[in-house]
Amino acid sequence: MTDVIGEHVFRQFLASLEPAMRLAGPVRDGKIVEFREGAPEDFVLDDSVSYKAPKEFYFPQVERLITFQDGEAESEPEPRPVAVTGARPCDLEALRVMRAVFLNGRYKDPFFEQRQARGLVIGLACDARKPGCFCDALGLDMKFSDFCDILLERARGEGAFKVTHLSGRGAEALAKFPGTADVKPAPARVGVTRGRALGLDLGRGEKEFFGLIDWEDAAAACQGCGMCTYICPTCHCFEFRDVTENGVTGRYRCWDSCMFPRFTLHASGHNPRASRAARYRQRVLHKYLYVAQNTGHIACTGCGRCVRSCPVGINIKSIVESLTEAEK
Amino acid sequence: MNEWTPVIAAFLCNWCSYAGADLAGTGRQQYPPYMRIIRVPCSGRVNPIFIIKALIDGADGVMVSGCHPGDCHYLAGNMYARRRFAVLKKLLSSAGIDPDRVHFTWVSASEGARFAEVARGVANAVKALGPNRIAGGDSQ
Amino acid sequence: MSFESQEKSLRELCESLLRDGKVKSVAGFGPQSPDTGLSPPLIAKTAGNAKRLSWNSRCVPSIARYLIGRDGPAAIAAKPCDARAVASLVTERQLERKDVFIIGMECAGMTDGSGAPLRACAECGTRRAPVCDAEITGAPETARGTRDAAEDFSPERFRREMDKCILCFSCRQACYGCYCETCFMDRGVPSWQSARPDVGAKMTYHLGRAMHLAGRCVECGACENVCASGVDARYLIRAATVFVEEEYGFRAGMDAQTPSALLTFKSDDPETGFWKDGKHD
Repeated sequence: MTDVIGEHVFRQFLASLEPAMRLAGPVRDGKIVEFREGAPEDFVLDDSVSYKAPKEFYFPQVERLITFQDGEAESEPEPRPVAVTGARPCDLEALRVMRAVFLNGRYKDPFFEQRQARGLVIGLACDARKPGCFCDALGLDMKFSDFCDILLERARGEGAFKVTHLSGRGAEALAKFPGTADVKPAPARVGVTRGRALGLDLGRGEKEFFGLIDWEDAAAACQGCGMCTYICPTCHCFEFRDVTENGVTGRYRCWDSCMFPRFTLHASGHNPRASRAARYRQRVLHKYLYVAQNTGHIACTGCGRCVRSCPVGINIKSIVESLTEAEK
Repeated sequence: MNEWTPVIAAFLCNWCSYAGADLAGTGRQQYPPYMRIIRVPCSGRVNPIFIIKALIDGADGVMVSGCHPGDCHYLAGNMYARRRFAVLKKLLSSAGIDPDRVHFTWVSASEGARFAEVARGVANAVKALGPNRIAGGDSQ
Repeated sequence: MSFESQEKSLRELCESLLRDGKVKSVAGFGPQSPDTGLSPPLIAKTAGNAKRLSWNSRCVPSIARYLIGRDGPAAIAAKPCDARAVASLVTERQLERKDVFIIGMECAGMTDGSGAPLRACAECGTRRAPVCDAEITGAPETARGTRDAAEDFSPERFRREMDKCILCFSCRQACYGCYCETCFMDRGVPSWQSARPDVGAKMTYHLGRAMHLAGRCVECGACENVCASGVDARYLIRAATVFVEEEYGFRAGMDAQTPSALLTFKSDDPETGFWKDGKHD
């Protein structure tokens, strides 16, 4: 079988991508695993799941877009493309959602587009569900997503991957390295069905959902910390900030969070989403209703990160289930 | 090459140390010109975040001076400040920031000579530490 | 004696408090989540709902802040740190003592998902609420109360912790003491943080928050427990807490009358670290 590749060979393949590409993957730091730039041997490609999604390589937390000085504006030089290894199928599906948000409308986001078009995404199939995971309820396959260039699946026994490629770019990259030149394309698989075990009736207007359940009650424990939005693979809200230092002004794009009261605060002092419950409702409906109505994708891939990390145990899945229950 | 000179933010109470600095000037007592004096109504007005912010944004040293305990124009502003500064000093050293970058002292309106002496001492202490790289220069 | 018996007494007490109209709500902990084992905060407003109150080794969150701004008298199923937080909030005029019925739960320390004691709980030697209106005892014996003596306070440590931080402000939101309507970090004019979340903004935030919590921290560990990035969000505050205790003999929330150390003074306070005629004291 040529499609099973030893782990050390695969890491050598990753090394061969340098220096044209930066390498990123899950790195262990104390108790946590986090996506970081690093060397191939740093990446933990076992069954551990990163606390944060790898979205920052396409949509960084802080990103300088333009620099102004003395009346001249300059856009930022293109960063070196990045090869992200170890993204889970839920993370890959999330990239599909992000792409729909950033690129399918009338305005295209050149920064996101550039990063995606030039980078390489190497997925890693999951072996088992983690506590809190619910990708299956959203009709996703935990072992497969075609929204990547190369897909790894841990082979039986230790230290080997079943490797397939799913794009021309993936095939090209693998072909350049002797040890992976024989990797085959992924067999045609039943695509993601998006089976609606979990999901809302998209025909309804948003206002109908406002009264379906007691949102105050659902979000009673919420502390408004916004962690769910920072670690979420699909949360994509941002704000712009101009910072002047030593006469040079940079325009930065920074992540924002709908869980913060300032997110919707008007200059007048009025805040249309003044309560935590209203903000939490926004988070749920944005994912399951608004993005779904606009793009056809539910903006939640069941990665379970918010379920695992919420300090007060709020579970988005049970809230969506209670909405579905109330719809009947 | 010019010799490196630090930037030191000096928060001085309007009712004593600021007048003390003025007296040092009129009495021709020299103190370093790179003391950037900021007049505040009371040492109790100095929010610890002023000091933190100054250090993180690149000031090489910070000095705060108010009325001697018991002499506060507002009765007890410097008494509250005293506890706050002691805790802040501890906190800064816990964060690995050299305690010699931050100095607290009391100088009255009649102590021009003492102000100049303290200012020179603070400047020497800060100078000995070299430029501030607390935030790694990212912020400046 | 066990969690079960404490839980049973707690439910009975809360049901009667709610049924008799002594309180309008009870802040406590709900049934454990099947995914994470965590007992989420629960606000019970009816005697029926009080039956869902739970008590186990995973009642991790700090719940005192749910009492702020609540209508009418409320009870709280308080861990010792929660009781200290309530007492501290009373001294800061955020709560009226008469409006809070503190049920002191004797506490053996909470655990993480793997059953290991949480760091703050391992350090904490306070088993019983120093301030309460009723007490439910019976927690199992555990050996606790040891602080790590050799804490690393180097600049490298500070930098390392700050590099991990993603400025999500979860630690602030979880903290009982961070009840400011507008946090200094959210203030626009003047803006205390550099407008983008760089390492300077992180340092400003963590030093500023540690300063605000000095003498007010009840050592509940909520900030470090919520941190998903694994920042030791309390290490600076811990240094300040130890200093305040040694210097001013004050621990936050041990009673509901004494104001916090930095909100008061003595005329002969020590001037540790002050400039004294050419040298440091």
